[in-house]
Amino acid sequence: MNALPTLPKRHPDTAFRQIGDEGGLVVIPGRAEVKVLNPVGIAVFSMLDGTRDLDTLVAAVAEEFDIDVAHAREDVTTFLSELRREGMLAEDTAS
Amino acid sequence: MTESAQQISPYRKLVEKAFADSIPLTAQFELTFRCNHLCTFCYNSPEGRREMTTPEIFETLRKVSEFGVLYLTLTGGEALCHKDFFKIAAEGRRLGMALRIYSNGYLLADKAMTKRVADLKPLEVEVSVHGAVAETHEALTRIKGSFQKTVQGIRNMREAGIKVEMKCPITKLNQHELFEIRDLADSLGCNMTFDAVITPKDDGSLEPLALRPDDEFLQKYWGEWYLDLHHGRLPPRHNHCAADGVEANCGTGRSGFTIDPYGNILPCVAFRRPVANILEIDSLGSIWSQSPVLNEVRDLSVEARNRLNKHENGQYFQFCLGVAEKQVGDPLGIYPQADINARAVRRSYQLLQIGD
Repeated sequence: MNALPTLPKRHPDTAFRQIGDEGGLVVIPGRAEVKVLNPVGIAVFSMLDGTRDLDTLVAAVAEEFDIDVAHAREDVTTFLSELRREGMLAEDTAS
Repeated sequence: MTESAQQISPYRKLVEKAFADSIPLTAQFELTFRCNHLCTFCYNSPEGRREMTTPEIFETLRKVSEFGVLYLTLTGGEALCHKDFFKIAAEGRRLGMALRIYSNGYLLADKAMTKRVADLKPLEVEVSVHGAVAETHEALTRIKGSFQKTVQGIRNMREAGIKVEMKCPITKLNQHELFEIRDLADSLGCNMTFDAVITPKDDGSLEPLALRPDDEFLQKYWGEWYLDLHHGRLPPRHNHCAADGVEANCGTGRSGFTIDPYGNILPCVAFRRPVANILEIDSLGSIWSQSPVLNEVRDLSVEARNRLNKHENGQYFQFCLGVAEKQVGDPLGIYPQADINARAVRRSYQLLQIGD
């Protein structure tokens, strides 16, 4: 398994919308599928613009959701791996 | 952090939350009233005014995207007849919206055109098919050769991996061949949707209603035919645009909105009360919760549900405020097609011994 992108970026073909504090929806048009994200997921997904590295994402999640950094790192890493597996991350061009 | 939408409850929970809070997920954008078909029952009523220019359309897309819309539907007229369709669709995608396209499929008989649509990676393309054979289809489109081209267009799209939904408004000209139309959809690998309501024209003309299917047919359609036609699916007991558990009849001015080729914002494609012109406002957010028109429309939708709840067949109605206003002059008035359909659906549920 390859390492996660240095500066993770959501795939340009995704569309997403946050809905209140409940979470959000992500559409992958090429696959005609909709994914449901919980509030932490949609917060991370909205930050995936290719300017933030893993440490920055983890720090933001730990602060926003008031969880410890180790827990946040585990969650964010698992989430990014899942997004990549689903084709929802852009190819890494930073490294 | 992700859950598949096929596990219905988290997805439905979010959609219902959006519906309840009037967060629009969908915008239907009528790019042009131009069309390469002459459908006898078309509801469009072009006013002969100048349609938006492409830069104005781009400005519109920006405002729609900034408002947070997730699903952008491009329609017409025939959307593909717009000279800049592909630039416009690509801009919608670049702005991060998922794309649906409504089309008659005619131009997609050209594989180069299909390839350009596939490159847009649309969520789906919905294509209107009016018959299982050329004679029927073309009696309604009034364009010779349109059946062969539309079917070829669908075939091209399926080969290109595009999800296609075939739609068929039921008329007295095609009501006898619905099973063959469904079989055609199956053979092409498409989902099939029939619509048993022919709507008046946008200018209020009732002329298209002359083509509506007859009452005897509707009894059969909602009764013994429906399950067969829809592979075992039960007839719907509410509007497709309504969310469960919300006290509104439909999603007009709530789950989405429509923009016409002149830039008018409308509560939905059927209920065409102008809210504002998108080129004259700074943002959609500035009018969405404040517009007296939208607030009235949302209240009417709740009132419609309240009234239907007191009607003997109320829970079997698919009721459209826009059709009601055009057909009987009152958005809350029961119009004949809705009443006939509701009675037929109720009879169907009674035959199936499914309780209220």
